[in-house]
Amino acid sequence: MASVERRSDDLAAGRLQTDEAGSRSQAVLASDQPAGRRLTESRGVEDHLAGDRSAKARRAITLLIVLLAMAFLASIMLGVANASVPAVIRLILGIEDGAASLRDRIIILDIRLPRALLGLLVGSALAVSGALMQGLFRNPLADPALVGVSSGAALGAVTMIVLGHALMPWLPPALSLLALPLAAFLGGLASTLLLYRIATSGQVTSVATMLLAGIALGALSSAATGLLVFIADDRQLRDITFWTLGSLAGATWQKVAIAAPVILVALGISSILARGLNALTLGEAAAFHMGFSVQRLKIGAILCVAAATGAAVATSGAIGFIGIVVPHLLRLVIGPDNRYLLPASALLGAALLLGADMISRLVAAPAELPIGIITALAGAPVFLAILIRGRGRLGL
Amino acid sequence: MSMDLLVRDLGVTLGGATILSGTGFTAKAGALTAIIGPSGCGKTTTLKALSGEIAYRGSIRLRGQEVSSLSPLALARMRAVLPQASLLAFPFTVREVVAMGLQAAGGRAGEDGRLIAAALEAVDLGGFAGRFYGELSGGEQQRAQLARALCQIEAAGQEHALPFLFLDEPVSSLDIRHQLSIMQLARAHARKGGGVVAVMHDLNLTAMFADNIVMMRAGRVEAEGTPDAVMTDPLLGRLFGCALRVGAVPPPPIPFVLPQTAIEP
Repeated sequence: MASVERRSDDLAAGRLQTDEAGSRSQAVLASDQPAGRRLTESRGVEDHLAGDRSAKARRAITLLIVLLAMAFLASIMLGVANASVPAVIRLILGIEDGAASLRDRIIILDIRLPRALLGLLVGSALAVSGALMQGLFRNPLADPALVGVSSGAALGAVTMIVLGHALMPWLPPALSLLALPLAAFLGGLASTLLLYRIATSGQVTSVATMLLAGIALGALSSAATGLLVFIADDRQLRDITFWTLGSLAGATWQKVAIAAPVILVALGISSILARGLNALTLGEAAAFHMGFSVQRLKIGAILCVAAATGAAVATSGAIGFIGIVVPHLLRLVIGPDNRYLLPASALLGAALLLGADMISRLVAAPAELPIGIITALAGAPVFLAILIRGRGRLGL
Repeated sequence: MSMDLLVRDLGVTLGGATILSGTGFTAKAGALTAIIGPSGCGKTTTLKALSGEIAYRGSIRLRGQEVSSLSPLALARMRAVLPQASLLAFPFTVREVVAMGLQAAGGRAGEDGRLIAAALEAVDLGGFAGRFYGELSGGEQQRAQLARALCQIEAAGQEHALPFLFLDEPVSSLDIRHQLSIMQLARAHARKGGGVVAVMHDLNLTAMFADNIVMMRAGRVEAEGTPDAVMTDPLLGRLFGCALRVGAVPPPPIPFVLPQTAIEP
């Protein structure tokens, strides 16, 4: 409601000022005074311009930092088991008063803390991957889970689980732990590259082709995964089930240590791509005209998406819709400028996934609801809303 | 070092079809060069080659340097481009689109709101900063894009000289008042030493504003020269395949209006 009012105000203001500007340019016409000269001469023009959402975006990012801190604390403090966080902190600081048991310490430090950290990393990786893919495809419907990148990454991981030992028996156990996320990364990379090649012809990326190709690639990956499930033994099957459901339940410090560097590097690189992705919104030719190397931009974005999605899928399975919901909600508030959208997506994605994880732990306690159910329940309606509202504009 | 844009023996092949061959002309710094010709004659392809977007044979030297050898960033500091039409997938405001020009070319001017305001004023979009780009009319979008290109020129700085401005049908969807003011803006840029290459369809506006006209037909340059030298009955007739007569007035009951009448000599 408020935004509708604001918009009509802007419209009225725009009309008024157009009339003013009209009479000004009449004068320009009459005297044949070159209008272009004013660009450098009128640096005195007041900087009170409507349409600048950067201050709002910075406020939103500050708020999101607070929100994420709260979500993080809550996910450490809340749980099925009764464990006292203050007591554990006192224990760590050495001012132990005997209230914190060893059990509390294990629950907080070895179960909830790595789980919260992994949720934070995975949530930000998925949300930023979504925002990057949407910038790359110039389309708000792109999402790593939806268009088969996540299933490609899962296929990579499952291949490593089932065939890893047979293919590379010489690999020491410590390295095979690293081989898993690497396989997920390669699976995600192959899917992203393939999808981009199929959906883009000339300079135009077709939405319909992208979504349909995503479905086909996802089905292909699932079929291959099914084949591997068929030949897998019992222990491997248990591992595989984990990928297809998606959950933070298996979080360990080891997984945090594997995911953190990959995801943090991908997030860092994505922030360098922000200005180029903004320019890419105007089209590949315009981005090139504005001095960006479009090829490097695309490769950078694809590598970031594959690395972040691969690391997220390798450690917590395929969790959908975070990548589509988070950037969409943020665009409504702070606008589509990637310089703000990417960091804000990382923060909100992390906070949302921690929230979803808390719901999945608490709503059916002591059992755990798969987190993918919660993200899909929240995400699918948002996806449909974008689709219905943008039917004409997106050329579907 | 020449300050001009020299095109020599330019050839372009796209998808196996030869679009341009043996094209050559000179666009001087400080002058407005218009490219005219029938649809499909290779005007836009020529502009794409000049921009460095597509591979070409022959030579395009911009201020002494071969266009194909320059990096995207180096090119962005030597020329800004106004494309024909741009659709936006995301809801950017007009201000944010124009501000992208300041992020271009290495962004040397910073993000100065006054430059954005001045660029919007220059294209007569003073009150439009807060509007969404997608809600503008085609002509308004075109002018917003021009404001973005003007901001890129500011961002490029003036290391060597004022950058060139390449315009692909800059006035095609504008009303007559804005056609005149945009062409004046382009000419003013040229007068300051920038140099302008514009693909044009309107022959009267071309005659009015161009210092140099390049006539193209079937991927070749048919003629090149000042308006009074090349705007002749035989050349125009050959170019467009219809019997045009320069300076002829239609028979009495039919009214006719020339843009020239809006500006006092």
